[in-house]
Formats: sequence, structure tokens, C-alpha cells
Amino acid sequence: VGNRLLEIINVILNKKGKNINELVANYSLRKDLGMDSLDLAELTVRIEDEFDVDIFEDGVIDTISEVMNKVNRGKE
Amino acid sequence: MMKVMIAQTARIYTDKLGDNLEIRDYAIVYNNVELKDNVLVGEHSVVGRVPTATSAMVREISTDSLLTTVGKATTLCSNVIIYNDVNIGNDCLIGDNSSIFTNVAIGDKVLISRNVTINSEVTIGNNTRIMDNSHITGRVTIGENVFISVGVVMANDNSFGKFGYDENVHGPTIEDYVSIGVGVIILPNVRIGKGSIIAAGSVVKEDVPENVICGGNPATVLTRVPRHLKRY
Repeated sequence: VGNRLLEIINVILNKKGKNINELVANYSLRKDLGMDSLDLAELTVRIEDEFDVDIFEDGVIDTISEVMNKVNRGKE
Repeated sequence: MMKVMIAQTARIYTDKLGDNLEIRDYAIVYNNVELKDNVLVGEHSVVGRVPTATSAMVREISTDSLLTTVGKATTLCSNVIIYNDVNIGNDCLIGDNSSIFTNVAIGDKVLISRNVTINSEVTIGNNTRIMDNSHITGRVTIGENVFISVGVVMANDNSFGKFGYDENVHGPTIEDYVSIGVGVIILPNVRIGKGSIIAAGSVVKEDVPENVICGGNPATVLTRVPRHLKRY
């Protein structure tokens, strides 16, 4: 899951000329990775396509660890 | 029993009045108007105004006293101008300084916020919300449950009036459950598909399919609408 999630995040970051090498649990999608609402919508759709879970369905989340929890819970 | 509160300075020229109305100071309601029960007409509002036609205009408009109807429990706030041949549904709110031109049909529970201008030949579906300072151009169709944010503007004529108000002059068609962000510009003749979202500041030049998020100038499809943002 971690590797695939890293790839998905980098697809979005690459469009803005950014890249990350690893997923840091307490990274904020907005503050640390600089994602805006459109990036977050794309991230949600890409995760939905891959893991069949909408990470924002139950409310707003912001950190990598929260995203991981949603994805892992969706896989169960 | 009819209970009507009409301020002393208001002018009422119609007898088609429902029960329990409130018409505040300096409002004018012309004789081509029907106000249903529980309507409030705010200070300085004018209802049933007949357009003034001059040779400066590129199209013909009717200056007949066509019926304007304001539905039950609808509120027209202050300085609202409603022209002739307008049909406003029940439980609507039309905000201060808004102006609705002739030949417009508005559904039920529609919210038009402040300083909204709506031109002629416009249809707006039930539960739609149009926020402050937006401009709805002529010949526009807006569906139900649409959200139009502040400062959205639309155009209907790529020829700037050169060929008059012919059949090529047509504003956008906005389908049900569309959401339009702050300051979006929508150019003539485009169709925005059901459930789609247009990002703030976009310029929509071409049709937008259903259930996508669009953004940029020119607006392009960025992604589909994720489940949590779907409104139907």
C-alpha cells in the first residue's frame, strides 16, 4: 500500500514540479505537500480507483498516516 | 381572513393580493402583478416593472403589462427590481439590489443573493442558489440544485451585438447539481453537465461532461467528482 500511495502522491506532486522520496506519517497533505483542493480531489479519485475507498467520505483528514489508515481500513 | 400590512409610502396598483402580505416603505407593485400568500416586498422594491424600450437596444422586448407572479412565502428584500413576465416560485429569497429582467421563470426554494442581475429568457430550477454579484446573461437555462458562487459571470454573444439578438445569441446551459466556484466566467452556448464542479476563477469555453471537476483557462477536465463531493 505504502509504495502505491507514494506513487499516486508523486503523480500529483510532479505536475507542480515536486517529488517526495518517502511517506512521512505526520506530513500534512496541505501544509507540507502543498496540495490545494483540486489536488486533493484528484488524490481522492486516484485512491478510490486503486483501493475503492473515498478518504474524505467521513470528514476532513490531512496527514499521511490518516490517509494510510483510511486505505487500510478500506482494504479490510 | 385577509391580513395585509402595507406601509403608508408603498404604492400598490394591483388587486391580485394573497393573504398575510407585508409590503414595506416605498415599494411599488404594479397592476400586472400577482402576490401569493405570505409574500414580503422590501423597502424600495419595484415589482412588475415594464422595460423601457429605446432604439439603442438591439432586440425587441415586450412593453406589454405581462403578468408577474411572486409565489407563496417568497421574500423580495430591499431595492429588488422585478420586471414584467416573471414567474417566481414559492419559498424563494431575492436579495437586496437584485434585478430580474423580463421573461424569467424561477422555481421553488431558490435563493438569489445580493446584487445579482438576471437577464431575459432565463429559467432557474428548484433549490438553486446564486450568490452575491453574479450575472446571469440572457437565454440561460439553470437546472435544479445548482450552486453558483459569488462573482460568476456569463456571456451569450460572441459577436458583441454586431448581428443583433439573433438565434446565435445564447447563454450557457447549466444542468442539475452543478457547482460553480468563485469568479468563474462562462462563455456563450456551453453546456455544463450534471453534477460537475467548476473550480474558482476558471474560464469555461467548451462543454463540460457530467460529474467532473474542471478548472483553468480554458477550463479542462481535471478529474471526476469524488464520492464525498457528489450531491445526488
